[in-house]
Order: sequence, then structure tokens, then C-alpha cells
Amino acid sequence: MQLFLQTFVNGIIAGFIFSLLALGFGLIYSSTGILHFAHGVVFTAGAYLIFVFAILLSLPTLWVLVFVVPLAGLLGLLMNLLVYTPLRRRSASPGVMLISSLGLFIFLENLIGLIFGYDIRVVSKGRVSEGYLIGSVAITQIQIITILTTLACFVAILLFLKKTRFGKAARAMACDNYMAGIIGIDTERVAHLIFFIGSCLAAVAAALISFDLAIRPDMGLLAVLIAAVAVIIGGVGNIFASILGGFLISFVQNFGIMKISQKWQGVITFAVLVVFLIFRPTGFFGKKV
Amino acid sequence: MNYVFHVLITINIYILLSISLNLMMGYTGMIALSHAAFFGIGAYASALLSLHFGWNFLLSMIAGVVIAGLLGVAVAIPSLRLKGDYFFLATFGFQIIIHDIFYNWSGLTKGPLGLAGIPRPSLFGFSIRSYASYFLLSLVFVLLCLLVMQRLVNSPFGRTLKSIREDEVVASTLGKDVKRFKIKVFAVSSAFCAVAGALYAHYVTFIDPFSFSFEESILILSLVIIGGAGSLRGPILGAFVLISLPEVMRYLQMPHSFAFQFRQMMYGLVLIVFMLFRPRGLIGEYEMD
Repeated sequence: MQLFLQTFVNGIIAGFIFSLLALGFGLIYSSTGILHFAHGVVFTAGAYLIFVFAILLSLPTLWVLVFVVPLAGLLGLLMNLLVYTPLRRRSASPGVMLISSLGLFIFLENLIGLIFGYDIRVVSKGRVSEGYLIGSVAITQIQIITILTTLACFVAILLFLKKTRFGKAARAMACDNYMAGIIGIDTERVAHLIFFIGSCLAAVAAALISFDLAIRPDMGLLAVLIAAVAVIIGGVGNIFASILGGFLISFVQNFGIMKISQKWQGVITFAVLVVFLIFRPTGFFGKKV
Repeated sequence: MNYVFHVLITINIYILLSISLNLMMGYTGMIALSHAAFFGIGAYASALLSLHFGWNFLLSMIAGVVIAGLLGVAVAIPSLRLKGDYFFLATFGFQIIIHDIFYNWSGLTKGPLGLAGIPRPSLFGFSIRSYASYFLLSLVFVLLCLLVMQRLVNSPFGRTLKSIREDEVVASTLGKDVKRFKIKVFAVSSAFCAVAGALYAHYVTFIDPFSFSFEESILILSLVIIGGAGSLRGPILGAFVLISLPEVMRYLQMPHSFAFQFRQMMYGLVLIVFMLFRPRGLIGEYEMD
């Protein structure tokens, strides 16, 4: 029972981080229609920027976040500005977008590897916090910060989408990009903003992971795959369903480890995707694929 | 001279891989990222059959080709329920799963240690040991495959594929069973990869999972993109350019790990730059748009 509860809590905490990744990826995918694989490398870049600011420049944590999160957002915006916008202008197919996104991913991942090397790096500063025991379940301080930060991000995104003009425009684009342009929404500007916000979310996820675990230049691949799978099993077009997808993957992975070795995590993630693709390709709440 | 033959053998193997992806991407318009996986399946199947059962080269290659083809059908049927981005994601997932199986199923594949001592082929009493004779062997297979491919794409079958690429709905209104065609293409394409895999395994005589990773699939994608999709000569030129270019860089005396990342960055850059400025590749006929 104790093992079950602990796994459950671990699943929830990893689920929060996964959903944060999925939220950013899903936001970009639903409103611009780009399967933004380079989202994974924005996540990696975020983690390494944190490494630079927190360890090499030894800034306090709060300042690190103040610098890193907008910087990662800017990286995403730049990708949109330099690559996706020109492609969209010539109305390139989704396949062309996808291939350039893969190009961005592989280019930047290896650039990071070239600069920092392929050894793992540790950001968490060796601060092993005692944590708290709730009943028989242990929660560390960082895990509590993870939960609170992620919830704050969820609320912020919800408010952005429901209350602001830009958020409403983004939802209109998710409904019908072409129609949104016709009724006078500046879809390019909204796309820039969406890329900025989505990439900021990736940096927040990167921060939460790097305060807990070691970072590597190739960490982005599994991250973006989890995000993509979460978005699909949640159901494309329903941004908040991807949060649910993130939690589902996290639970399957964490409970899977009880029975199956951790090295099969990638396989488990995709097994979930395959099951959904075969039995329910629309995801939980999605439109028809 | 042996060095020249070595480069030419490598180019031959990649020509097989790139014409295989080209059949899917350039002729049928299906973007997939699973070619390194099928390459690996061909290599492992052929290597294991020769090592454990002492099968000769041709027999184990044919077995590898059949296995890869059947697996291709098995992957195609569920993933072809999906379109565009989702289909791509499913093949990406397959790539990750197969790589993880190569890496983790130590009982069969010896995991990261790899399979060593794969015998060089001997055909009709001739043992093929020298670089020159292996080059001739690979050339025979490349010419055979090119011949098959040429007959294929210039037949009514090939013209149907092009019509599917241009407009699936039109193709199906003309009475073509689009899905059946796509499954066939997937199977044929996988089988070609397995030919390359067997040639590779019996050439280097040692295979490990790292040769069949996601990065390898990106490389194959870059070969097709740089040469130009939708023609036979495009991918051939692509293989020549992208495989021989790093060999030139070898004379710049870069450290090994640096050179690896540098190459990966180059492939990424190729994808971005060609998608942005020359989507038809160097000498392609079909503009990806």
C-alpha cells in the first residue's frame, strides 16, 4: 500500500511536468497547426540556460528564472520568425514544416552538445532537502514547488485563453486558422505570441526538472515525444485535455516501473500511443483525426 | 584505394536507403521517420541468422527482407489510419521502440555491446573479403534495386502513387484503393531498407544499436531532401554528396566527438535550408510544398 501511494504521488508530480510540456506543445500545435518538434530542443536549451545562470554565473534561483524563461520564449519566437513564418508565407504543407522542425531540433541539440559536451550536468546544487512525510508518503520541497508552479502556469494559461484578446484570437485560430485571418485577426502576431508563451512553458518545465535531476543534451527527444503523445491521447483541439494526457502517460510510466524495468520507458510511452491510435484515435476529447 | 572503396560501399548502402525513403516520401507523399529502424531490422535479422544458424549471406538477407517487409505491413496497417502529422508520429514511435528493443533486449541483440564477428559473405564458392570485391557486391545490389525501383515507379503502379501524392481524394474517386497502395509502398520501402541492412551488417561485421538510431533516420531524410524527392537520380546524388562531404572534413583533423556533432548539425541545417530555399532539392522533380 505504501509503495502504491508513493508511486501515485510520484506519478502525479511527473504528470505535472509532462502536462506543462504538453500544454506548450499543444498550444502551438492547435493554434498554428505546426507539429513543433523543436519544442524539445527549446526545453533542452532552457535546462542548459539554467545551468549557465545558476551554476556558471551562480545567480539566485528566482533571478535565474527571470532571465531564462523569457530567453527560452525568445528562442521559440525566433524559430517561428526565421523558419515557420517564411514557410507559411509560401503556404508550405505541414510536411515541409515538420521536416524543418526536425532540422531545427537536430541542429540545436548538437550545437548544445558541442558547447557543453555530452556528460550529464547537475543543477540542483546538491541541496538534498529533507522533505515532508505525509502519512507514509515522502514529498520533497522541490516537488511541492513543482506542483505549485505548474498549477500557477495552468491558471495563467487558462486566464490568457479565456480573458485576453490574444487568447481569444488563439482559440479562434485553433478553430479555423483561415477563417480567423478573414475576420481580421493578425494571425502572424498571434502565432509569434503563442510560440513565445509555449516556449516559456517549456523553460519552466526544464527548470523544474533540472532542479531535481541531471541534465543532458539529448533530454529533449523523449520530452517532446511525451508532449506529442500527451496531446494526441488527450485529444487535439482541446488544449486542457493534453494535461490529462500528460498525467495518463506519467501514471502508466510510474506504475509500469513497478513491473517493467525503467529502460523500457520509451516503449511504454509509445505503447500508450499505439493503443489510443488503434482504439480511440480521437483521444479522450478530441475531434476526428 | 581500400579507403576509396570503403567510401563507395558506404555510399551504395545509403543509396539503397535513400531510394527506399524516396519511394514513400517523393512518390507517395508519406513522410516517415522509421527507416533506420527497418535498416536495423534487416541488419540484425541477417546477422543473427548467420551467427546462430550459419545461414549464408543470400539466404539470411532474403529472410531479413521478408521480416522487414512483413513488419512494414504490420506497422502500416494501424498507422495508415492516421494522416500527415499523426502518421509521421506513429513511424517516429516505431523508430524509438525498435531502437529500444535493439538496446534493451540483451538476450537477443547483446544490447549496447552489439553483435560482433558477423561473417563476410561467400557466394558460389567465392569468399568476398577484399574491399574491391565487396564494392562490386554492393554495386550489384544497388543496380538490381535501382532497376526494380525504376520499373516500379514508371509502371501504372508508380503513376498511381504519384496521383495519391498529388491528391488522395481524386485518386480514390478514380477507383484506386489508396490505403492498399500505401501499405504496399510501406512494405516495399521497408524491404529495400533491409537489403541495405544486410549489406551493412556483413560489411562492417559488427553492429550495435547506435547505428540505427533516430539520428540515422534524420540522415536518410536529409539524403532525400538534399538530392531532391520524387526522382530516382535525386536521392542517388544526395547520398553521394552527404556521405562524401564528411569524408572530406576528415582531412580537417577534427576530434572524433566534435566531428560527429558537426555532421549532425550539418544534416539539420540541410533540412532547414533546403525546405526554406529549395524544397525540390538539388536536382529533384517534385517540389515539396
